[in-house]
Amino acid sequence: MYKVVVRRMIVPNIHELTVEAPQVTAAVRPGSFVILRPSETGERVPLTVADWDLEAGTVTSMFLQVGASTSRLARLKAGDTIPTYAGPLGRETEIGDFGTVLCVAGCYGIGSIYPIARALAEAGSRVHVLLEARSRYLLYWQEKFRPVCDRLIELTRDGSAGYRGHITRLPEILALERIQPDRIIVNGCTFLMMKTSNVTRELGTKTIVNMNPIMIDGTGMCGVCRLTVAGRMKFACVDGPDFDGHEVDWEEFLKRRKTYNPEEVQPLRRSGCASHF
Amino acid sequence: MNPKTIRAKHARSIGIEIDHRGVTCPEGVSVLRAAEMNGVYVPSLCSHKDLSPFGGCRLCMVEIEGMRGYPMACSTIVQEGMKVLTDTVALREMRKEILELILSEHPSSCLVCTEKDECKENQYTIRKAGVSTGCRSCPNDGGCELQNVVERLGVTDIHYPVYYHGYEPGHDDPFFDRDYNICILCGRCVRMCQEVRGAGVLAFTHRGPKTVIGTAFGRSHVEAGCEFCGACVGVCPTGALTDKVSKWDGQPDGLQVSTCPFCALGCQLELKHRNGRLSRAEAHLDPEINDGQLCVRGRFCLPEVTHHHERAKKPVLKRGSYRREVDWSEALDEVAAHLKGLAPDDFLMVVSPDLTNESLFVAQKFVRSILKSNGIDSTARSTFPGGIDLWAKLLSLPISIKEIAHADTIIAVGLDTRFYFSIVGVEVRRALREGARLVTIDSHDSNLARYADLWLRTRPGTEGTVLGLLADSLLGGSAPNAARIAGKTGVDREKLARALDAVAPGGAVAIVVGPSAFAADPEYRLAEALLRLAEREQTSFLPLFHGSNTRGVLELGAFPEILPGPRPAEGKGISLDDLLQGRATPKVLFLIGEAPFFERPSCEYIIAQDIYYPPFEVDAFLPASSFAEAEGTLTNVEGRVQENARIEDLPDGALTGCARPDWLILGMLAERLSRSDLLFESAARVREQIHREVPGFPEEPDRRQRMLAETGIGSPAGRPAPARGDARADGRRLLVVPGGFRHRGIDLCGVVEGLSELSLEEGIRLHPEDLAELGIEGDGPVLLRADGIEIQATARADASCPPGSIIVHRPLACGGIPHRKDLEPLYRASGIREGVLVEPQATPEDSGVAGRGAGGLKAES
Repeated sequence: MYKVVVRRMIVPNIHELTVEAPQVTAAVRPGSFVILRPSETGERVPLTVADWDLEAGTVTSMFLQVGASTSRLARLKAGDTIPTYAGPLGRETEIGDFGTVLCVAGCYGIGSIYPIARALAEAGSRVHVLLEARSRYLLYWQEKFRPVCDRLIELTRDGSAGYRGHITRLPEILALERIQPDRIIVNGCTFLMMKTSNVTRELGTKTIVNMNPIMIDGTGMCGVCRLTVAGRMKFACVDGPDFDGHEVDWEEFLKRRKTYNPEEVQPLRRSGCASHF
Repeated sequence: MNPKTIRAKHARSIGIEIDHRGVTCPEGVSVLRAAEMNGVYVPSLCSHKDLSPFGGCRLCMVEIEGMRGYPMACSTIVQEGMKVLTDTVALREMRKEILELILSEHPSSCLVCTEKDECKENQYTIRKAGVSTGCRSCPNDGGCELQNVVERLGVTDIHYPVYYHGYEPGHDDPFFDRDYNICILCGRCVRMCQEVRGAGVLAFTHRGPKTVIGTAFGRSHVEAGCEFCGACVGVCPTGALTDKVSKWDGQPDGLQVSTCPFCALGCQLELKHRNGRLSRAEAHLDPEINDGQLCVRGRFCLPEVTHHHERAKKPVLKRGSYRREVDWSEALDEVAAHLKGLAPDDFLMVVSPDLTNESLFVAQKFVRSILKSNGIDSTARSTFPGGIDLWAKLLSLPISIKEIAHADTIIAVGLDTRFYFSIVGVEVRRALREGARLVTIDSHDSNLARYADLWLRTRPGTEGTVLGLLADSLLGGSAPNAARIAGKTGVDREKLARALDAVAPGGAVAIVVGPSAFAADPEYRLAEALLRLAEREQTSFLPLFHGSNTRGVLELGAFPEILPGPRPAEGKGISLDDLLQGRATPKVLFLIGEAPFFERPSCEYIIAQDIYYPPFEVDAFLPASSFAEAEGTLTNVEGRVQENARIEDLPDGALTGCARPDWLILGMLAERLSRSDLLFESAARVREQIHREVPGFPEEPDRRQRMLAETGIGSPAGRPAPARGDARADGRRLLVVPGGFRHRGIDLCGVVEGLSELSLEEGIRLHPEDLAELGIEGDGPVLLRADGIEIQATARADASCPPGSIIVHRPLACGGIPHRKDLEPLYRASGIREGVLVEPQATPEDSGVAGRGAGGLKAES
């Protein structure tokens, strides 16, 4: 059993989950993910790692409350335990001195891109961070990013913080900020990653995306997380989760993600409060 | 109908000018209503036709000649010759400004996002979000009044700083979720709860920018006395209040008006569906019965009952120790083979009082004409204490639900309308607002007692005597001996005298009697008093019972002793009582939507036909269509034959199953028994047949009230004495009254999770003082001794219980919740038992269900 150290809603609908798992902490790398279960009878949920503490032996992840299992996770309190916490899984994000790197993040991706930005800065890259959200109250961790990045850019749909609009404004923002990235790394919802890849294709900048398919075992056995990259079948769990955003077949990916929507809603259709969130 | 609406209807018409156009409207309506009636759009978010004007959103401001400033259209009453401007440049500017202020405190980034249309393609994954942070993740997306107003006023940007309150979303009560971060403080829910429902659970709490909707002292809704009627959810213009089950479906793509299948009031529903599946039920604005209001069951439970994962989907046959899913023809062949050549007394069919008229008619015809037996019975009998004939008489009284709202004097006996028959409570409160007097006669505390002018707290079982006294007074008979009756019933003498004064002016009188009062009326004095009052003019009645079509069971003769009509049957078949009491055991038992046993009775072959599997092993199971999948009619307490619309008409499949309507299954069986005349093409064909055979039964659904013809069978001889227990003078009175939420053979608490969280009525209950007398504080284990049975159970302290009595709520259905089996011997009985001993139990028996108040039970030989 793994002890939950922190579980709190950090901004509306996004939760921080810190779990005591020293074996995982020892091996975790930026871009790794873990698979956990909220309870003995729960399904497996893959979460990208957002931070870790070697001394305390804890790992922190951000998750979006968006279904039955994450709702159960959202009910955990500090001191509760969870039965499964397996990781680190997947290939780590490529770290090095790439010149100027722009880290684009939204939603839970703001959390998961943090260790990437930190490691890139440590490796000598010049890191800029662009955080995207619907509104300013959905942004978080700015104070954690500032020490590791050159510039922290905010982008909100309603303009309540930073630039107004969506990632489609990226070329314009880059021009205004006078940034010419050599590499762009995107973490967040599929929509954000797809949109960013589409605009950066025209810019010709290499774009790495952290894919988030439906996943079961996370070790390459089940094949549920398969996606097509550069015309070839890949498993996000063992071949990724990082891929070149310009090579991903986004249409197929979105379709696969939506396949089980009716089933995913089924366990939520209950009128009781105990099982609900 | 709302009294205000009635007044408006008959009001004088006056002429006013709106936007330079001369129009007419009834006198006394608001400017907003006048504009609406004349097709002029005035934006508003807080007004509602059933609620008092509030002037909270300020969007409906207009210019009126001769009036200073910008008066609110919702709270300004029209006057002859008034000149109103609704759409000037100044108004438009101000409205936009006000709307932006509202939006600055509402997660509205999606409203001003340029990519909102493209984003919709991803909507499915986002909509499951636990907290809404924008329209795309809001369950009310597409059905939101705020979205509409934003669109109409053309707001595309918010110039004010965005503010998110950060309130913890409220998920910790059953049935509906609350997220007051989305709330715009229009106050509709508060006014609905206070003005229309009279529940007063919701209120504005805190002040200034911290104002938020909530309950007093932040208690849970269950504790605060919420009826979970969902009226607040229905009027919420945003997604702040959403129902837990159907919020995930998105906006429905169609609706159909239907009748609620859960109780005898027969409320009219708007069943909303999406992709051919029932999504949610909302109240229909039906002036005859429920006028836009519902109870917890009608509002929230229907989708879960019909789409629960345990729902039976395919026919099942027992093969040795296995159960095997088979196709229809195999199942029907086997069942038909077992029915062939059966002697009349070898067969019993038990039908549920929740079946449609069509199914009931075909069922009794099947038994009588094919099996040549009268062996058809219904558990409806247990809700008819006093016998079928007495109830036929009661149902031939002038029964009316809407008359309650027009009454001058209301007498309510043994009724709590929080969860049962809530509509009656709404009508009572409506009458009280119009100045009616309410007297409740009840040994229990009830929600109605809170509004009553007088609550006459009787000893259990003597409600009828008190009602008799009031009846004498209303009938203007000889001065009854109030002092003697006060002594006999335990009612305070002075209170009784005041009650007599209260009812003395008479006028229009409405008398409402709940099912538990009938069940605990050993001498049928209640029924007697009601029948006596029938002679009085301007008197309406509402005798209530469980089962949605119990009246149909009576009219269509689904009892051994009566035929459709109802008229007496010749020769009697086996009855359900015979089986339960062990007087007779049929070879073949056919249960349709009914499972009145915890364990399999010792019949050779048992067939069950229902929407869920029964709680015991059967030889053949036939899956029946639920209310949403089959059309039919239900007869309500007033005799209205109301339509139960078919919502789902999907092809057989793994998810949808292959259920069939009850009447069709019986028809298919009849065909295999060489009788094709019972195989009807549609429910309408069955109705035609009923119309031909049952006098007064309409051919088409007919919502007119009908009185029931008398049965002509004799009343039970004499009055039975109340059952004596060990007859100890120091013993207490034990009341076993029917309760729980039933539909067909299942207890709804077993499938509707929210209801099980409300099932406050289970197990044994005593007044806290009585428990304290036994040395038990709060809930505690007790030992009950009566008639040679010894029951160990956890008694729950309940201040609403009459002191000196023990109350047991007997669930109406055995299916659903397993632990109830423990109290079975008590459930077999109904009514009152005297001289029952109760002692504190030293060693609490851990029954594993302590929270529910049930417990273990041992029967002594």
